[in-house]
Amino acid sequence: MPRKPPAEPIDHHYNIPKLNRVFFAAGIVLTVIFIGMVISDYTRDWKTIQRIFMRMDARKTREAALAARQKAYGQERQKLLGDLRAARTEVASRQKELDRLNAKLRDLNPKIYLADQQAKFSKASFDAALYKYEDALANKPKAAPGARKELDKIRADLAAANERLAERKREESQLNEEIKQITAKQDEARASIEKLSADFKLSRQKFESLKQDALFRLRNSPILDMVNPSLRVQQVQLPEHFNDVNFMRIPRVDRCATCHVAADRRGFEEAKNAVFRTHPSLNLMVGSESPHPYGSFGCTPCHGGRDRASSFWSAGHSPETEKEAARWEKDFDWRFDKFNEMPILPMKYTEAGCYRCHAEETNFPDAPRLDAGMKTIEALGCWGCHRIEGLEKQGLPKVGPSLEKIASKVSSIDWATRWVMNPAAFRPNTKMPTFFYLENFVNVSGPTPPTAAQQRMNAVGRVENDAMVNSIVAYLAARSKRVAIEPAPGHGDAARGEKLLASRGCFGCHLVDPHAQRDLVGTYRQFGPNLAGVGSKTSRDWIYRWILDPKAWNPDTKMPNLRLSNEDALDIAEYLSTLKAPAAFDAMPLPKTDPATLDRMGLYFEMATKTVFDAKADLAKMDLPAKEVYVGEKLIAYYGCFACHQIPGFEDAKPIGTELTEEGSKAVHRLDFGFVHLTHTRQDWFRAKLNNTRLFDRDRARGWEEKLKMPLFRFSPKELDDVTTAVLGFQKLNASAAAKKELNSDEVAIERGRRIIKNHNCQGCHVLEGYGGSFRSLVADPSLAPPIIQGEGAKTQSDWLFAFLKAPKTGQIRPWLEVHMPTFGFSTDELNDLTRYFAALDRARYPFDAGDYVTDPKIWQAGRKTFELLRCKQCHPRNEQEMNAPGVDRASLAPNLQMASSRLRHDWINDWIRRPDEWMPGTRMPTNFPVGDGGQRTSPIAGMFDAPAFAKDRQEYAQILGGDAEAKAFLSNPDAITKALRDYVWSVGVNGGTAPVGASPAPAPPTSRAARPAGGARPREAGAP
Amino acid sequence: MNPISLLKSAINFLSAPQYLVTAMLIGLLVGIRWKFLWSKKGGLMLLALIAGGIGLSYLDPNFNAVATLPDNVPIVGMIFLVGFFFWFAMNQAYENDRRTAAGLPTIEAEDSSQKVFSWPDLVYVELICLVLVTAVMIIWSIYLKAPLEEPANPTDSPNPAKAPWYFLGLQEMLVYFDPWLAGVVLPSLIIVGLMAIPYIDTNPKGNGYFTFRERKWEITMFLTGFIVLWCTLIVLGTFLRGPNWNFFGPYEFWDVNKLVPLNNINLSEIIWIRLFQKPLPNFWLWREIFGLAIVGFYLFALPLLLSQTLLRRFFEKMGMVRYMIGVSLLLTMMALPIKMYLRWIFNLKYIVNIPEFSFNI
Repeated sequence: MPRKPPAEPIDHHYNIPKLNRVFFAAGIVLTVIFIGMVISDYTRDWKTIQRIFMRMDARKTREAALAARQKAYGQERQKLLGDLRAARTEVASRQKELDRLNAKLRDLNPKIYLADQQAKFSKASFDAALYKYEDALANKPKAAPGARKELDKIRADLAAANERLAERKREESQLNEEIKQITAKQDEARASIEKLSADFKLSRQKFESLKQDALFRLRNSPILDMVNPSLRVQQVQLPEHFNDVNFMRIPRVDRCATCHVAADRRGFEEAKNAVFRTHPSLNLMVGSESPHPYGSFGCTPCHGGRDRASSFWSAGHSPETEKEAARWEKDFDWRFDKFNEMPILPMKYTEAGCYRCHAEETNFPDAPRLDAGMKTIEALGCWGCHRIEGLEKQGLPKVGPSLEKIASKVSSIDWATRWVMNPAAFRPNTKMPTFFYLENFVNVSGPTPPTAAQQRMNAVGRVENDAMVNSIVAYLAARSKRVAIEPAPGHGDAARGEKLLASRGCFGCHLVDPHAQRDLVGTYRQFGPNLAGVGSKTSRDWIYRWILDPKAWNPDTKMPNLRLSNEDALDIAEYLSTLKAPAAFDAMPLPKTDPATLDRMGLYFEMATKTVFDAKADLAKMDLPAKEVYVGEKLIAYYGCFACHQIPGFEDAKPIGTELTEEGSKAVHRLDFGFVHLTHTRQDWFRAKLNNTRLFDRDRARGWEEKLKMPLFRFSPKELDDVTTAVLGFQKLNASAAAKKELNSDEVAIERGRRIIKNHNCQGCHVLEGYGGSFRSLVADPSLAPPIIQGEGAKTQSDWLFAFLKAPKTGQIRPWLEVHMPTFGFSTDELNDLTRYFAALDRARYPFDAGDYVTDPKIWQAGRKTFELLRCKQCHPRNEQEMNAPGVDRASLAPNLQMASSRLRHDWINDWIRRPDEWMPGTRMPTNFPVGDGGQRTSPIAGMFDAPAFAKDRQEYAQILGGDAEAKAFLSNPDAITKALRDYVWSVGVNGGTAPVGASPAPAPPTSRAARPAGGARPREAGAP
Repeated sequence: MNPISLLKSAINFLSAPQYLVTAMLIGLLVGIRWKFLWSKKGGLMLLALIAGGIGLSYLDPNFNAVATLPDNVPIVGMIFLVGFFFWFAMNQAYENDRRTAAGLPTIEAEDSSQKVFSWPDLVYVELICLVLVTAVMIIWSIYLKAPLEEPANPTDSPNPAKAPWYFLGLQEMLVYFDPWLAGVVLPSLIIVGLMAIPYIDTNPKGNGYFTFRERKWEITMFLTGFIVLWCTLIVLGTFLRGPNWNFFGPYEFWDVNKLVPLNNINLSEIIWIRLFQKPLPNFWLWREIFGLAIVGFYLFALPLLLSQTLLRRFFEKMGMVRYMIGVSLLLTMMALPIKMYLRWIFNLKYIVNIPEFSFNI
C-alpha cells in the first residue's frame, strides 16, 4: 500500500525558501573557490617564465629569419631566377623529347611493379620449398628427392624473376638518366634557390612553432594540458648523483631547466633577467661539449638545492646579501627555509661545488675563488689543527718555522713574548694568527658597552692571557736546544747587501716592506716571511749562517740554498741586520704573570689526571718558573701551536681542531650560534666565525678553559669569501665513483709535480703553466729574469732535468744571470715526480730516448753552413774554449751548445729556433723566422736568394744539396732550415760539430752525460760518418 | 621595564606547566559552577578575553613565529572551537536546569515535541554545511601550505621533535611517565575507558538533553580529563614546548641554548638515602618496596576505601563490578595530575624504579 503524502502545508523547522537562498549563495561561493583552486593550481611561475622565454626566443628567431630572408631574396636570387628561366626555355625546346621519355617512364612503372611483386612471391615460395626440402632431409628421407626437384624448379623461377626485375630497373634508370640530361641545368638552378632560402625557411618554421596561437593556448589550457602540453616541466635524470635520504640513496632528478630555459643555449648571455641567461661558462659546465654536460651532471650536484623543486623558493635559492633577500621576499615570495639542508650555494660561493670531486687536484684555475681559498688554507696551515682529508693526502709541510732552537735564534726572549702577544704588531702581513687578548678574553660584550660584571670578566681575561703568553714562551725557552752560533767573519757592505738581496732571487719568496698587507694569492712573494724588522728578531751572525746554508740549521726548512759566496752572504746579513722592528712593537709592555691565575691554570691541567688533592700537592712543589713551564706545555697542547711549528715534546701530537673534511655538509643545527643573531646558514656561520673566531663566545660567562680557542687570522673581506668558499666545498660526495673526476696516471704525475712546485714556491720566480713569476716583475730586462718555464718537458731531456734540479750550478745555462737557481735539496722521489710532471704536462715521451735519431749528412752540412751564415756563433759558444776565449763577455753569451745534445730533446731544438718568441717571450734569441702575412713562419734567407752578395753562398748550398732548385726550396722553408740547424747543433754536443750523428747508438745515459767533461767527442761516437 | 613587557614576563612565568595546569584545574572547578560565565554575556566576555588576548599576542614576534606556523594554526582554532562547545553545552545545561526547577520542559523536550522530515530539515542543512566547509578547507589548503620538511634523518632530527597535534597530550605525559606507561598503557586505557563509559554509567539522567545539576560529578570528572588533561596539554605542547622540549613562555624566544636542570630523584632514594641515610638495597623488591606499596595501595586498597567513604553513593548505585572498573579508570586518570604535582613539588622521578625489568612508574 503506497504511503500517503503528508498533509499540506508540511511543517518545517527551518524557513525553506531562506535555506534555498543560503544554499544558492553557498553553491556560488564553492564554485568561485573551486575555479580559484583550479587557477591557483594551474598558475605556476615556471609557465609564465616559459611563455616569456618563448616570446624572447621568437623575437630572436624573427630577427634571424629576417636576416636570412634578406639573404634569400637578395640579388643572388635574381641571378639564380634568371638562370632558372634560361634553363626552362632550354628544356622547353626539347619538350617533345622529354614528353616521350616521361611517357615511357609512365608505361614502365606498372611493369616494374609487377616484376617486383613476382620476384617477392617467388622468393616466398622458394623459402617455403627450402624448408620443405630441409624438413624432408631431416625427417622424411623418402620425400627428399621430390622436394628437391620442386625446390630446383622454384629456384630457377626465382632467378628468372629477379633477372626480369633487374632488366626493368635498368630501363628505368636509363630513362631517368636521359631525362636528367635534359633537365640538369634546371634542377641545379632550383636546388641553388632552395639552398639559398633554406636558412630562411628553417628559421621561419621555428618562428611559427614559437607562436603562442590558439592551438598553443588549447594545448596548454587547464585540464587539456594533461595530454601533450608545450609548457612542461623539463627534467633530467642523473643516475650517478644521489640524494642521501639516510637509509637509501635516491637518484637526483634535476628540474632546474624548467625555469632556467636557456642555461644550455648560446645566444642568451646578455639576457637582463638571470633566469633567461645562458650559463656563464658553457665550455666548462652544462654545454654538451664541456667536461660537465647537463645530461649527466645537471645543476644541483654542483650548485646544491632541491633537485625536484619547480618553484623559486622550494628550489632553495640562497640570497647573497640581506638586500637581495629583501628583494626576493618582495618579488618572489622567497623566505628562509630552515628545513632545506642543502640549499643552493649563494652565487659568490658557487665554486665550493667543485671541490668534493676535485679534491685530489692542487690548483683550480677554472675556479679562482676556490683556488684562492685553498691557497689561503694551505698557506695559513688551517689543516694543521683541522683535519682535511683532501689536503692530508697531499702531505703538506708545517707552515711555521721550527721552534726547536728558538732560544738560540731570536735576539731576545722578550721579542718572542711580544711576538706571541701580537704578531701583527711586528709584521702586519704575517701568517701567524693572533691567539691572545681577543674578544672573548678582554671584551666579552663585543661592541655593546660592558656591564659591571662583564668589565670584571674582561679584567680577569687580560690577566689570564698575560699568564698564558708568559707560560708559553717560558716553555719554548726552557725546552729549546742551545746552539752556539759562530760569529760572522768581520763586517760586510750593507749597501751591496741590499742590492744582492734584490738580485740574487731572495725576492722570489720574501718582501722587505714593513707596511705590506697579507696577500697569499695575488703574489708569490709572501711565501717566506717579510724580512722587514728581521734585524730586531735575530742577530747578524745567525742570518749569515742561515743564508749560507739554511738546511744546516733546520734540515726541514723550505728555504733553499742559493749558493751564495761568503762575501755575498756577509753583505746580505749586514744589510738585513739593519732592518729593525717598528718602535711600537719594542714599546709593547711585557706581561706580568699573576701567580694566583697561574695556579688556577696549573690546577686545571693537573686535575686532568689527578685528584684535586694530588694536583694541589704537586703544584705546591713547583716554583713560579716551573709552573710557567708546566702550564706553557699544557697551553701549547691546548692551543695547538705544534700544528704549525716543530716544538720539542710535541712530535706526535694529534690535531686539536674539528675535522673539516665534511664540514660543508654539516647540519646547521650542529653549529653553535651562541647568543649571536645570524641567519642560520652554513655560509653565514663560517664567514662570521672566520672573521671573528671568538664571536660565538659573545655575552657568555665561561671560564678560560671553556672559551673558544681558534686564533684570529685577520682575514680581509676577500680572504673571508675565499676561505668560506673552500670550507663550504668540503662536502660529502653524494655521487657514484663514475661521476667523480678520476685522475689517470699522467694526471696523477702532474698533480704530484704541482704539489711539489707549490710547496717550494717555484712560481715565485718562474712562470709555470701560465701562473707565477712574481720575481720577474722586479727585473727590468726580461732576459735577465728567471726564465718562463714553458714546454720544459718537451724541451729538456728528463735525465738532464733530474740532474739539474738536483744540483743546479750557478751560470750553468745562462751565465749572464745574476739571479741564482737555488738548490732545493729535493728528494729522489720529488726529482722523479718533477721530471715526470714536466714530461706529462707536455705529453712528451718519458723517459726520453734519442736512440732512433739519425741525421742526413747533406742536411747536416747545410745546417752547418746556415749556422755560419746566421752567425749563431756570435752568442752561442760551442765549447769551453769558445766560452772562455779572451775578449768574450760571458754575460752577453747565450747557452753553450755543447750542452744541447745532453740537455735538450732534439725535436724541440728546431721548433725553438723557428719560434723562440713564442716559447719564451722576451728571450734574447733573435726571431729569425718572422710570422708572415699568411700567419706562417717565413724564411728571410729565401728573400736574399737572388741578391748578388749571396751568389757565393747560393753556389755552396747548391753544391751541398745537389742543385739550385733544391737549394732554393731548402732556403725558403723555415722548417727545413731549422731542422738542418738542429742536426748541426746536436752534433756539436756529440762530436764537437765535426760530423753528422749517424745511425750509431743513442747517447749514453744522461746521468753520466750531465757530468761529462767539457770538450771533445766521446770515443763511441767518433766513428760516426 | 615597561608595563607591556612586565605583563609579558608575568604571562611567561605563569604559563609554566605547573601554574597552567593548576590554573586550569581550579578555573574549571570554580568556573563550571559560576553561572554567569555560561550566560550570553559571560560567553561574550570570555570570547573577548580569549580572542583579544590571542589577537594582541600576535603583535609579539616570538608568539607570532610560533602561532602562525601552518601546523599550529589549527590549534588556535581548537581553542575557540572547544571553548565554544563547552560554553554552549553549559549554557544549555543551566537553561534546562532553570526550566526543570521552574517545572517547565527542557529545551530539547520542547523542541522534539514537534516532528519534521529529515529532508529538507536535516539533510538540506547538512548539505549546506558540507558545501561551506569544503569551501573553507580549499581556501585553507591553498593559503596555508602543508608544512612538509626534508626526508627524515635520524642523525638530524628536528628540534623540538613534536608528535602530531592530537598526540601532544601524550607527548606531554612522557615528561612525567615512563614511555611504556605514557605511550602504551595510558593511551590504551583512554580508549578502553571511553568505550566503557556507557556500560559503567547507566544513569539515564541527561540522556538527550543538557543538564548540569543532575550530573555534576560526572560532568566535572569528564571535563577535568578532557579540558585539563587533554586539550590543555595539547595547547601546552604546541605553543609552550620549544627546543629540547624545554618550556618557553608564549612571548619567549625559542633559544636552542636554553638549559633547565632536570634534577629529579626516585622515591627509593628519598626514603632510603635521605630519610634512613642508608645505602640503597641491591635487591629491587626490597629497594622499591615502599613505592610498590604506595602504588598497590592506590590501585587496590583505595577503591575499596573510597567505596565506604567518599564514593559510597556510587558504590551503592553502581554495584561492585561497575564501581571497581569505573573507579580504577578514574584513579588512573588522576594518576597524571598526581604525578605532575609530585614532580613539581618534590622533583620526584619515579615512584617505582626497577631498571632490572625496565619497569618504572
